[in-house]
Amino acid sequence: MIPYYTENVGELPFFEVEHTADWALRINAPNMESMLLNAAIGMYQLMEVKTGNQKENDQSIEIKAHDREELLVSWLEELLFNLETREVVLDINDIEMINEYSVKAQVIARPVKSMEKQIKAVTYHGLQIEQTENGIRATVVFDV
Amino acid sequence: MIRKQDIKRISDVKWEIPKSYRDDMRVPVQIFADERLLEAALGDKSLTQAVNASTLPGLVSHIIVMPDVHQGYGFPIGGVAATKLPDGVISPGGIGYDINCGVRLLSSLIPLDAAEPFLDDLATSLYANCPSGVGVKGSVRLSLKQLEAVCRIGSEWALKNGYARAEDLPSTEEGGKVPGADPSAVSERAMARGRPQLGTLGAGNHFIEIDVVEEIYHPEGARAMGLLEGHLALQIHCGSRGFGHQVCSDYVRELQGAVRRYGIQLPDRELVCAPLSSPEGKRYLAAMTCAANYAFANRQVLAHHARRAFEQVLAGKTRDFDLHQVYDIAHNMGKIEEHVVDGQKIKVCVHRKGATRAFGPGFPGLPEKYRAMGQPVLVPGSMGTASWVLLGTEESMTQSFGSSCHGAGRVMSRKRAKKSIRGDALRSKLQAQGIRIRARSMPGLAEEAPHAYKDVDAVVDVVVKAGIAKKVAKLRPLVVIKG
Repeated sequence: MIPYYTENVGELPFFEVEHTADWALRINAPNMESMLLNAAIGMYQLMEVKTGNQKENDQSIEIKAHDREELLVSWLEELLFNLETREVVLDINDIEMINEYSVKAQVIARPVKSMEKQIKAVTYHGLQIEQTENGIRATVVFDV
Repeated sequence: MIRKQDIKRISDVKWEIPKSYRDDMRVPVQIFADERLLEAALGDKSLTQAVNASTLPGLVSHIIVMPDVHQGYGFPIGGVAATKLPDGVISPGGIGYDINCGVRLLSSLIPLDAAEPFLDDLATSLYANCPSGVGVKGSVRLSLKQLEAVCRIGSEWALKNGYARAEDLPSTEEGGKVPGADPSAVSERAMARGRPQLGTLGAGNHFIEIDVVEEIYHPEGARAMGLLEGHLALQIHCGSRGFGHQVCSDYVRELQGAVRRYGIQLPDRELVCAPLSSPEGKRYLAAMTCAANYAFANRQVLAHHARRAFEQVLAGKTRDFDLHQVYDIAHNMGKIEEHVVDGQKIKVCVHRKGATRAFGPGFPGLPEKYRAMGQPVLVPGSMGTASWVLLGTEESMTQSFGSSCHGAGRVMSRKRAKKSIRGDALRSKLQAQGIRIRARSMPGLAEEAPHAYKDVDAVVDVVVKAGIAKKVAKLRPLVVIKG
């Protein structure tokens, strides 16, 4: 998976920000599809998850929510659930918004080779998807 | 950000943010801290989070902030909030994702000098017997029916299945079985996560630690707990694993709608809640109770594995190799309790997030051996520093809803901690201090470096000076098993 960069050079697609007890990830993206893609890659990187090129299966996932913040949290929760119960990373092939608060993605489930750290949950703490000059921005706090 | 001048000094160890600080506060915030710990709390968003928590409907008295407070999500870690029944709210974010994360302490009659030659073997055996690390599955694989039984009866399930001794259960908060659990309130996803994980430690700040009892401060209390100076003790710190994480995630999402339906205004979506009398509030409480019971059973199975590890290494080598349960306490929990507020005894839901129940002498629910002196309060340190065993007091009942601190409390972010030291260097440093480390993840170990935490001795001094706990014993780490 390759993160989607915004036009503005220097605005990273995601980076870790200071949080005393847990992890916080700032995500920048031009639109909601890229926000979900960048957040997924950022979360996997925080956990230092490694996979090979092996493929368990191709699948389609669909997430529906009541607003964009809930969509972002539910999307990341879906990836975490698959990581814990099936021990797979969902490698995103294609991602498309169905409507403002629903997304559909084509993914390849790749078995995990190693993982250094755990995320217990994705929180709503202070979560707001804000409009920026070049797109949108959010900061997600993970309970670790 | 809250400034020091916004805070009123009540005593050397007690401070208050008055209700007038922000229009939406329903109760003041009281902080237990000395000057230095207060400065540390002002260094992150923990006090802002406590002020946010003070806006919840149905709160009584104060929000209480413990000296080990640090920034969390929604509520601060180290916060206590009590809401009045029937219409006060219950907030999953005020309890946390790791429902009934807690600590279990076991004592022994094994003198350090007899065990010293075998500490490396004990470390290796504990590491092998107690599954730890990210996404690890345990040796107990539960069917759905068995998991439902764990939800309902917690530690009693462990007893029925050979993972506990009868005497372990009374020495567990709530006897290891909180009433009111309803597995039908738990999602299929939570069940799927819970089935393979019973008897596992997990990762993050969870640990198993062999300590030596270094100093006794309260001989009568130590005697009742079986703690002998110069002898080994064992701590287990973990919670309800993926099962509890999923229960909380499910209800934080579900209650987003409830706050709209009940017209509750909140400064942070992570504080979502529902009235305790509402169908949503009742369902969450029933599901949370399932996770609480799962956590009691989880620590019980781990204690069983630890006993086996001690037997494997020490049988025939030391006169005694047994581990006796001192107590097991929760520090992320919502409990329905009776407390006196404004001279009246009322029923409240006490949210303790990173805070330990610390009931004083004579309170119902305490085991016979502790009833006259108050309950043991277990305050683990930070891998390289001391841990403390305390006793709850009568004053904790009047000052802090029968609660005390739960640990050292972080002061440095994980990001900065792992930049400050490499995991392997930290392991060598601790080993040079005589602390044997077994850890699955070196980056994970670095994030948990002792210097990322506050001074646990200073934290304990505050709760003792405030009168909400008494010192019983100080423990020094010898072996640390991390996920």
